[in-house]
Amino acid sequence: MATLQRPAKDSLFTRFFRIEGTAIALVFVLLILVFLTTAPAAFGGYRIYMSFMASVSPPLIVALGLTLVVVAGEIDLSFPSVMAFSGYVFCILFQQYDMTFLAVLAAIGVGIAMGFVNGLVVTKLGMPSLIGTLAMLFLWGGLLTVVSGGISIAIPTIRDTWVHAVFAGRIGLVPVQFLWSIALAIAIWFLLNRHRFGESLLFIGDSLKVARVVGIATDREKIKLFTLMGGLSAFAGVILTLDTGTYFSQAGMGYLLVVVAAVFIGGTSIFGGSGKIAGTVFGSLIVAVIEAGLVASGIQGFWTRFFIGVVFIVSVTMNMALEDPDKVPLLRDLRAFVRKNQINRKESV
Amino acid sequence: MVTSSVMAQEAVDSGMTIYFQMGGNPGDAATLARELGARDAARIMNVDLIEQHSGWDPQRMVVQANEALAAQPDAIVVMGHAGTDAMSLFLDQAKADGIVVVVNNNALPGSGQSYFGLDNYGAGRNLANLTIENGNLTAGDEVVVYGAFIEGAAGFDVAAGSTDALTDAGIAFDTLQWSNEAVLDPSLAVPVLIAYLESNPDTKAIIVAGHGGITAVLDRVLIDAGKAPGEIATSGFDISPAAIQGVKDGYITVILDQQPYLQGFMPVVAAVLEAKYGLAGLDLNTGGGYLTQANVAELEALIALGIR
Repeated sequence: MATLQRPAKDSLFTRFFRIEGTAIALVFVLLILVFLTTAPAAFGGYRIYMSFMASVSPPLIVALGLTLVVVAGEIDLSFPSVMAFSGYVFCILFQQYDMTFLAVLAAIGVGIAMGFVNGLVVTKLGMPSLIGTLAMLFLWGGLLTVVSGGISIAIPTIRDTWVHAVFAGRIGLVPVQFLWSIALAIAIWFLLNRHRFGESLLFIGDSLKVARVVGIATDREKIKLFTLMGGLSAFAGVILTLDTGTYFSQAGMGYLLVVVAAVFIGGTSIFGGSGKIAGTVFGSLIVAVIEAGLVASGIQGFWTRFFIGVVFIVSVTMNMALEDPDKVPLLRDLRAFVRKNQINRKESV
Repeated sequence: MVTSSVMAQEAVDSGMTIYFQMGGNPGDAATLARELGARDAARIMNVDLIEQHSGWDPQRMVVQANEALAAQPDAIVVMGHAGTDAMSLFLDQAKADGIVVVVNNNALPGSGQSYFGLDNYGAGRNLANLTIENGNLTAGDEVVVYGAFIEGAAGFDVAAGSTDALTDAGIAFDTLQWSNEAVLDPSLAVPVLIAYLESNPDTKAIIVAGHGGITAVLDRVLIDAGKAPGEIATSGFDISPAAIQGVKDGYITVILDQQPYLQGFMPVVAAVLEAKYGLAGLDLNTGGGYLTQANVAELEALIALGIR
């Protein structure tokens, strides 16, 4: 009986695309090449890339944190409210007390505290994180409305300060916030792949029971995780506020689906136990580029969202196929069919 | 004399419960002034005001209207985005239950209810005409209208009015449908509009057909696109502290003010008067105001309070 066998040694192509992020990076590059062809006026210039780098930073920073949360088999849907709350704290401290860097620290501190509470809700109340953090999305958002009175705050003079230059200014043409988000991506990659905390998250996501058996304090690690997520969400909220010079009461709400999409397009497993930081970076970039690219390509009106869906499906499928064609059932079946035919042909010869 | 003063006292000290659809999200740029107006009127007339927020989702407006109905209050103030047909069952049931219904922000044509808000289609036309006038646009110029082009969506009538006015003026236009994400978080509209400007360098104006948050980031769009103040005319809806800076700096040409405070205050008054004295069928166009560099200083104090 004939058996299907893998080649003894993977090809260079296969090994290259097993390097984290290379497949989704190629998808991103292909997407840019497509837009360079369909919208050369926009994608041939530098301004659109500068705009992407500025606008992608807040959702990217949150997506990095969410990747860790998903790795641990959890989810955090409260981040839009944490972003808004930290943005409000920053605005108020700047507007009323002339604080700059201290306001940043205070805003991040508030986010850390909110993340800590989120962690307690998930671990100590035993609520599934999907429900627990959804509840906290409303709770924090509601509290913010009460505290702020629901107003929007404009702080145009922030653009003349050092804190703006450090967190949302420009080095040459490059938005500084993008450099911050890339630095955070590198740090979080090391945290996940080279640090005991990341190892614990991978264990927890893979099997909570096994994690407990090997001695991981799962509740403590999860609280740390949600606290970190709160801090990152707050930092993203501060950067968003600095960049727009405005606090909106619903700030961050538009990022809910964007961030979740970026994490999963990047290849992080929805079941936990594995995560790809580089994938999340390129997933965020793809999500950021799609709508603007389609609009610049002349696809307008109702077609835009249709094609966003098409690009999502093509991107995720290509990512999986480049990493390992067998991850896509259709390709796996096709390959098996071809191999079977080849074997049958050899046997008949 | 005694009788009328007693009745007036009764109207003012109404003791009524009113459910009120506020529109977007609590405190957002297009909602806050309506909330403040309704709360002020409720305080004056001793009304227990229950606020509902739909995120401008017409489906949620219908659901919330029926939820309000289930609570059997004295009056319900709804928005008409879902259309008269979609609201007809609700209106019939409210009538049967003796509950006063008042409409704000977006009309329910043919329903016969008191209405306080813009003629949205007319407001869209007004917005386009103000952009043409203040942006010195002439026939043959190209503009982009960024808004809602799906019937029933918040802003659809505004966008339709704007595009019709542009057509009448012989001005070419593209339409860009805003995404749900940009509606929730206006900063997400920035790269989309920059991409459009980069691909269409002859664009003379951007008209944001009805979203205060997106209007407020128009200055970011022009700055990041490398445009000087006034190089491209921009216009939108709803004055906010954020948008006012754009007007001051010359990046935002004109903002239509639908005076939402009146859309909050007047329906509460009308609901009380209808419930107490049967005074009905009122219709007030709250729009007509607009903000440019010429009058921005006068309105700034009221804007800071959230009243304009």
